[in-house]
Amino acid sequence: MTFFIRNCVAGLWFNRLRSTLTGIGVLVGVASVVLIMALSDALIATIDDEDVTSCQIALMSSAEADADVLDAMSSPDIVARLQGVAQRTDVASFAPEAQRHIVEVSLPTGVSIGSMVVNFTDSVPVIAGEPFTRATGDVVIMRPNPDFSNVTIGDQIVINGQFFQVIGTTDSHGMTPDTKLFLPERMSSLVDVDQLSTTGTHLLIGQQGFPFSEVRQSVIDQLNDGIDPDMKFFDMSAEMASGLRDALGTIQMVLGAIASVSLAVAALNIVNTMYIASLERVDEIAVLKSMGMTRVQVMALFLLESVLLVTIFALLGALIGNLCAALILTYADIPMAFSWMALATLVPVIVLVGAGGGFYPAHRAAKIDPVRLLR
Amino acid sequence: MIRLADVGKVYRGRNFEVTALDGISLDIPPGQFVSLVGKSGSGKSSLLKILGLVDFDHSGRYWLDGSTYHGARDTEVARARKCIGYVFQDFRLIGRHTIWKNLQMAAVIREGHVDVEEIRACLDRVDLADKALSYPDELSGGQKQRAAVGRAIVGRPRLLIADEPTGSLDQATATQIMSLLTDLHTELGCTLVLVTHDMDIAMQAERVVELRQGRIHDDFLH
Ligand SMILES: Nc1ncnc2c1ncn2[C@@H]1O[C@H](COP(=O)(O)OP(=O)(O)OP(=O)(O)O)[C@@H](O)[C@H]1O
Ligand SMILES: [Mg+2]
Repeated sequence: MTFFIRNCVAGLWFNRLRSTLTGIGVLVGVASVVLIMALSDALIATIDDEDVTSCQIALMSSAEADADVLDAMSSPDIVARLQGVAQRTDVASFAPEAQRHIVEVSLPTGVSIGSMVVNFTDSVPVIAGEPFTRATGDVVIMRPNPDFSNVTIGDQIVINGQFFQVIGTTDSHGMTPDTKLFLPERMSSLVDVDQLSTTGTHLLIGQQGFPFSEVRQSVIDQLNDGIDPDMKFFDMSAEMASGLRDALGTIQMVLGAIASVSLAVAALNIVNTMYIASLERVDEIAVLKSMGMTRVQVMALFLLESVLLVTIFALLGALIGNLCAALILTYADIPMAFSWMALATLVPVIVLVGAGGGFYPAHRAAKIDPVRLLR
Repeated sequence: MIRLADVGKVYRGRNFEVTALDGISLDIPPGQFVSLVGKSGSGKSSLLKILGLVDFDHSGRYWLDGSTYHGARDTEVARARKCIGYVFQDFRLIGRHTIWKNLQMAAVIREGHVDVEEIRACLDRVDLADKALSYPDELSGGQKQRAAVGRAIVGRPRLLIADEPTGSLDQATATQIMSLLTDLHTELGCTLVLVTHDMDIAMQAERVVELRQGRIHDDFLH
């Protein structure tokens, strides 16, 4: 057996230019397939990140106009629902984490209070005053709002009979011209939320290691329980993620198909190369057969040579493809998701390409009849 | 060892039909040295191909060691071929392999393993130990034929077939090859069937068979 393998290596080495050129075809094909798989797997993995601790819950109405959704958001039923859920035990289990977060209270001309929970440190750049300290009653004001333009750091303000100390100010950011107050989430129940923000989404934030996905689902279920059948709360983050995942999946398939074409071309190249090799060795095979080599052995010799050629260059291609992917992903700051599954499917594909490409030439070689060639 | 009964061979093409052998019946006991002589086109090579289990497309019957391989399975034919050493006029060494590798291939095919000592002995026997790592192209005609003979005796074949092994060599080299073959015949105790045009060489054999137009014209021991 080792002799056979060495013989195959010798055969490939003897035609090293041709073997290399054919091999490069395999290499490019495999490298591109691997590259595309590795890239899209890594992207999908970032979407599927299990460590997610927040999501956006949105209300969807079957009514066509956006205005209907906005109306629905402020309808008493929905408001009651959001308030109700916010006080349920499931959501209360967010409480320890909630200390790190604040409730954003939107204050348009009238006083309306949103239920949006935002991560203070991330989303509220305090430009003056102290950073948010989690101290009871601390608030940060986002300017400008005529009602609060004269409020300065250190002032006490009253919202719905509740005292807050202004510890910082922040500039208007994002798209809302509204003035906003930022206060600890656990304070939100103290604020009389009689008019919820018309923002369509509500951010739910969980703690690291918290069974977030389960609670998220139970919150959505509670919100949807017995709601007007025209309306539905849904997890927008999950919807977006699955939409993105689908899109990436499609891109992966299309690019994968294109890359597979180059792999198929490489396989045809193998057929060609091995066929020429079999033609070149007609005399040799005739002699070997006259010495007692069986058809099966001749066939094995050629198949082995072809599989060897494909395997060597395919492994190189897989290596190069992965390296390129790693480079690109490092550049894009996305963690590399090395897919053992992809490798596990690649190996049989490689052997199949090698054996498939070598089969016809090997078959031809095995059928060579020494009688025509010996004199 | 060899028994031919009414063997005939006809080459058929689109617009020709040549009877190369016609009613050949021949018995060769084991260990005999037979020269096959005859004019060009008398059917010597055709007969050797049948003896060497290379050509099965013939009429009549052929038994090698009591078995007939007409229509036999590939593996059985291959097994029988392993006992036959074939020496060709044009050497038929594998050009991309060294002489050593050429002999090694024969060992792998015939014996299923490589016995380094045996290959060395075969090379020594044909006096080519120093050329083991040369390629066939780097050898002279005589050396090539010696290498081919060395390859033929790997695995101690019981039947050695040589079709004009000296046909493309000069007189001195031819004599050298011939004495090598006759010596090997006695050393190995194998049956040797040799085709030659040279009557002097033919007369070294125990038995001379002359073909004429595909028939045995003369068959004598001496
Ligand atoms: N492959 C073939 N196709 C057609 N005819 C053939 C073939 N091989 C041999 N013949 C014919 O068969 C006859 C016998 O040929 P063969 O080669 O056996 O002769 P030979 O005795 O070996 O001659 P030589 O001494 O020239 O080698 C010849 O007439 C030849 O033309
Ligand atoms: Mg001849």
